[in-house]
Amino acid sequence: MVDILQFEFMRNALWAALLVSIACGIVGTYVVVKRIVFISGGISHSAFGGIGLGYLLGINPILAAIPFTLLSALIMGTIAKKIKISEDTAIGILWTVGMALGIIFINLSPGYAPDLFSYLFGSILTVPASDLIVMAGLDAVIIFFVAVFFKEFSAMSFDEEYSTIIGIPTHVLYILLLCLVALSVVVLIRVVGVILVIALLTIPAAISRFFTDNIRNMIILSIILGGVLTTGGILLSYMFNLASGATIILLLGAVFIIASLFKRRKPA
Amino acid sequence: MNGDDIVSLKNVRVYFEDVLILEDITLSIFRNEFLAVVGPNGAGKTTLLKVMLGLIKPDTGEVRVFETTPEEGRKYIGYVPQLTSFDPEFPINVFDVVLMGRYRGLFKKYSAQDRKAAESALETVGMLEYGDRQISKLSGGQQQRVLIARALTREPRLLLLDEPTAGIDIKMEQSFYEMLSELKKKMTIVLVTHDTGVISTYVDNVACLNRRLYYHDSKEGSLEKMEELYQCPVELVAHGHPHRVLRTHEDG
Repeated sequence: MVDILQFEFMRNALWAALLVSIACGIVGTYVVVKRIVFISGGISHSAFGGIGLGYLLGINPILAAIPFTLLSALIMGTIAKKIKISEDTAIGILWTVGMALGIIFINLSPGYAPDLFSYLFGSILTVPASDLIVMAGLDAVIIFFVAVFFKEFSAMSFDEEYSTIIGIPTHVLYILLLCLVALSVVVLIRVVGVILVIALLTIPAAISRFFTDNIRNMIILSIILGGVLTTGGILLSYMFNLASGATIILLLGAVFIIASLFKRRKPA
Repeated sequence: MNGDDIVSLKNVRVYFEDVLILEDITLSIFRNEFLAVVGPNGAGKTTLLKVMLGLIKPDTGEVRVFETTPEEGRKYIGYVPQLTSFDPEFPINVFDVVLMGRYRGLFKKYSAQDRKAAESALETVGMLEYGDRQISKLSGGQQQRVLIARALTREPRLLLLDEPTAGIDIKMEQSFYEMLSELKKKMTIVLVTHDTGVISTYVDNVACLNRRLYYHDSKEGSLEKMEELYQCPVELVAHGHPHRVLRTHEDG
């Protein structure tokens, strides 16, 4: 087991797993408790537009995805309040428009698009060191904002209207939370791809929710679970030569099912 | 407005989309009054409270709360929303829900004093021993008390309660009203409900709301209006304790 750490790609993969667990543990907890899974799914899929833009401009697609996902988070956070459409309709539109833009951008890019598949479905075994630095930077931003606004995020996730009454700027902070979701998506893309990102933002937090009634503990437990299960998924995919992103998610899903059965036996 | 009105609404109209929800509401709430606003479901009761809180802006009319705008005035208001306003499965315990009431602004941590205030509010509503419980592991009546404690931590001058007796049985209701009448010594209370049975001896005044407001100083006066609003005899509506509804208040 130790000898696989000799490979640089494997060391990078384990670093990636650690960085991913921080983003999915912290932001995933809010995605689950604030019930913004669908909007987060929208943001993650629209990130594909940013990936395509990166190809078109000839820059690192991960870097191009940052402003793109932030913009889509801003639009999703405001559009439903400005125009009279329901939020889930707005999400459905942006979700697909973002992906379609990505496809067109890649069409327009000269030549063949290498690694395209890895952005769609993830490829943790091929994460370059430069992307690890980007991921670490984004994690730092996420930790900073959640540490500063922890009580506001928690209060408005529990009861948004009451939070407004007691003076929390809920609308601004909601958009900030969506921006943190956007940044998490960028952190996770390399590992599980835009299509599977939402699994890492929901499953570890959903499992943790079974075992704690405290949001702080839920974040910590989600980080641990995310780290352990992502690493486990990497090792399984390496041993059985399976796609890493899909393996990680199947492992998450399996643990979720086991945890829910275990939880059901306990008296409420 | 004279010095004794703490809330005053003048010709307030609220539309939602194109539907008229509140029509020409004119209402004054006096200091240390205990007002019950009664009306059927969909009458605009919650909307009326939200107008006072500045959460909903009226399309026309004027709202003054503590002689200022609702946004400014709401810092003196303790709001007790309906139980459906929050997610009961949220990972939070009773104490932290109540502590939330002490929120004072960005970058300000909850102090030891805030914790003490949360504890004393829990004690006031008789829920101190449940501080560690996750909120969904309480009965409806207990959850209601927790939300009242949360409102009390802000040391409000006006307490607004939205359907506080929903999900409370008759026995609990009695002790609930006794608690409110204790609180009434320190603050003004406005309660909205669709249940006319709640209009107990503790209430000073009753207003009837069904898009329009019929405000009365005595309970007896509002009785006819209630019949009109509900389209059925009040004795039937207030089944179980009509005597409370029919009693005339001394101040009337």
